[in-house]
Order: sequence, then structure tokens, then C-alpha cells
Amino acid sequence: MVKVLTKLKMSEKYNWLILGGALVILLMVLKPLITQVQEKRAEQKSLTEKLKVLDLKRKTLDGIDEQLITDRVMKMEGVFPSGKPIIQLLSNLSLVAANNGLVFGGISLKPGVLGEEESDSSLKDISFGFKLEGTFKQINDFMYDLENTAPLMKIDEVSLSVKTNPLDKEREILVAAEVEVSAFYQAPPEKLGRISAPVSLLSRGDEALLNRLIKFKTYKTVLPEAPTGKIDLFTL
Amino acid sequence: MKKDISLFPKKIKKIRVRQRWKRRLARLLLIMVLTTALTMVGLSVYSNIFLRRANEELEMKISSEKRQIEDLRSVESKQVYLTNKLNSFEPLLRAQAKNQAIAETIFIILPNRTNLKGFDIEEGVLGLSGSVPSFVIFNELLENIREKETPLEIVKADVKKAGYSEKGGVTFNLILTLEGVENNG
Repeated sequence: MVKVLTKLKMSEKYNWLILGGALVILLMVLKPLITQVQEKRAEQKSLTEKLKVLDLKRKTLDGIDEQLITDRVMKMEGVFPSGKPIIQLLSNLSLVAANNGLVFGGISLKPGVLGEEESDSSLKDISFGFKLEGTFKQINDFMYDLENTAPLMKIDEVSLSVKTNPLDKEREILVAAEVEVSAFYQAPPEKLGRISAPVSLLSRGDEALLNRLIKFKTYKTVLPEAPTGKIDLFTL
Repeated sequence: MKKDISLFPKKIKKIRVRQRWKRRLARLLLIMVLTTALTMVGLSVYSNIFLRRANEELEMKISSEKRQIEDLRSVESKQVYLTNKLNSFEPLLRAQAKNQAIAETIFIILPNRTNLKGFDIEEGVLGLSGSVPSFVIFNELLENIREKETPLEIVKADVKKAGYSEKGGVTFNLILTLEGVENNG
């Protein structure tokens, strides 16, 4: 009787042991498999997001009119240059003064270190001063023209003094003006950033600003031609 | 001859039946667990393969998008250039417009024959100093401040100083408060 009972109990115990063992083994196999699936799903989610961002960026870039943006960049570069616009400035200032019939001279320029702008893309300015002689109206017109002439300039200081005798009613009053002006330039960003970085589109305000660029007068800079020596001394 | 005599035949029979059911139940459970586990293993393996392929496909698409974006890098650099410049350009234009308005205001109020020695502007307050040949012209200057329409409205005018100069003219020092100007930037 005891033997039979013991035998029965033993076989029951083996059954449960087999079941438990099987469960443990299966869990050991299943766990890494499930972890792998979870990792792959997370990877899929991240890749889908990335693809979405890139797709949006590509579509945005595709939608930009290359000719229009090239024209705008050229206009912007004329008005708000990337480097110090020294030659352009001097040339344009004398032209604006001449257009307004003013006597122009006495330029003092502080161009700073040449070439420093390449390393930094923050806003920079160069200050310079000059003297003008003409009537009040001519000087007023000059100042208006100056602020609408490329490159972008801002009048910092103006001091006026009358050159002719104010009591002489027969002669038009001539005024001498000393003007301090700042011209602005800004180097473009050195890097474009990550490929997945979004492209910021121009807002309506930006578009309006770009339209104001058209208002700026640009003059062709004429450089004086200096005689140069022969490159090959043995040619006739 | 010896013979085993079962003392509890009924009890043993009952136990055997119970044990048989227990064994069957254990076997059934084992089969169920095994089937479920195998199904789960199969599904996991299949999911792994399916997801790996899907991810490979996504990576290919990403590479293709990247190539297309690289081809459009020149457009992107121009766009970045413009947005970057416009950020600085707007405040400059605003400052320039403000300066233009101040200059125009000064030119409108100053009568002919005014000798302006200096002007400064701080926190919307414009200081003007200079001289005019006579009190009549000085009066004209004050009339202009009172009556003429200017791009920036003069909300307050304060004559700090007015007197005869050694050369015979009238020197003056005016403080004008302009509307819409906060600083000289």
C-alpha cells in the first residue's frame, strides 16, 4: 500500500517538475526573442520618424524656386554683404554725393582687421566719417539716398554748420555737414547643420523685408585700372 | 503462499482515479504551455525577421532621401543664408527707419539759417543745440515745433536755454520728446 502511494506521488512530482522545467526553458528562449522584437520595433519607430522628417525637408527644398532664391541671395549680398564692403562703400558714397550735387571729402574709415569676418557669422559694422558741403535740401536728400543705397548704412551722427553768411539773403545758404555712418556686414553661417535639421521657410514678414531690398539702389563699383608689369619678361 | 491483501481497496482506487486525472491535467497543461510557447517563439522569430526587413527598407528609403537632400544642398545653403541675414536685417531696417524719421523731423522743424551745433537722442528725448541769426527766426523755429507735421510727433518741447551770442545771433538749447522712439539704436 505504502509503495503504491509513494509511486503515485513520485510520478505526480515528476510531472510538475517537467512542466516547471519546460516553462523555465521556454522563458529563457522567449525572453531574448521578445526583447529583440521590442528593440526592432523601437528602431522602426525611430527610423519612421527620421524618414518623415527627411521627406518633409526634401519636399520643402523641392518647393523652393532656385532661380528666385539665387536672385534674392545676390540682392541681399549687395545690400547686406558677407565681407567688409570698403570699396563698394567708398564708390557708392561718392556717387550718391555727386548725384545730389554735394562736395564730398574728408573720409575717415576704420576698416579694422581685414579678413576677420570669415570666422564669425555675427553682425558686424564698420564706422566711417566724411564731410559734405551743399544746401540743407541737398544734404537732406543725400541722407535719404544714403539710407537707401547698398550696402546697408545707418547714420550715427550728423553735425551741421552754416558756411555762408546767414544774413545774406541773396545767396543760398551753404551748409557743411560732418556725418558719421555705420555700414553693416555679416558672414554667412559656416555650417548647414545636421541633414535632418529642418529648413526654416520665410515668413510673410521676411518676404516683405526681401521686397524692401528692391528699394535699395545699387551702383556698379568701378575699380581704377592700375598699370601692371609684364608677366613674362622675355616676350616682346 | 503469500498474498497481498489490500486493506483499503476503495480508497486506493479513488486515489488512482484522482492521480490519473491529475496526470492528464498536467500533460494537458504541458501540451498547452508547449504549444503556446512554440507559437510565441514562432511569432517572435517571424516578427524579428519581418521587422528586420522593414527596418532595412526604411534605411534604404532614408539613404535615398539623404542623397536627394544632398543634391539640394545649394538651395538649402541659400535658404539658410537668407533666413540668417534676415534675422539681423530686420532690426537694422527698423533702426534705420527710426533714424530717418528723426533726421526728417529735425530738417522739418529747423528754419533756414539755423546753425545746428549738435543733436543727440536718448530714450526718445531729442536734444538740439545751435544758433539762429535773430529772435524772429527763433520764433519761426518754435512755431515749426508747434505747428508743422513731422514723421515723429513732438509730444513735449522744452526750451532749456535761449540767449544772445557774442556774434549777434540767438543761441538755443531745446529738448524735444518724440513719440515712438525708445532709444537711439
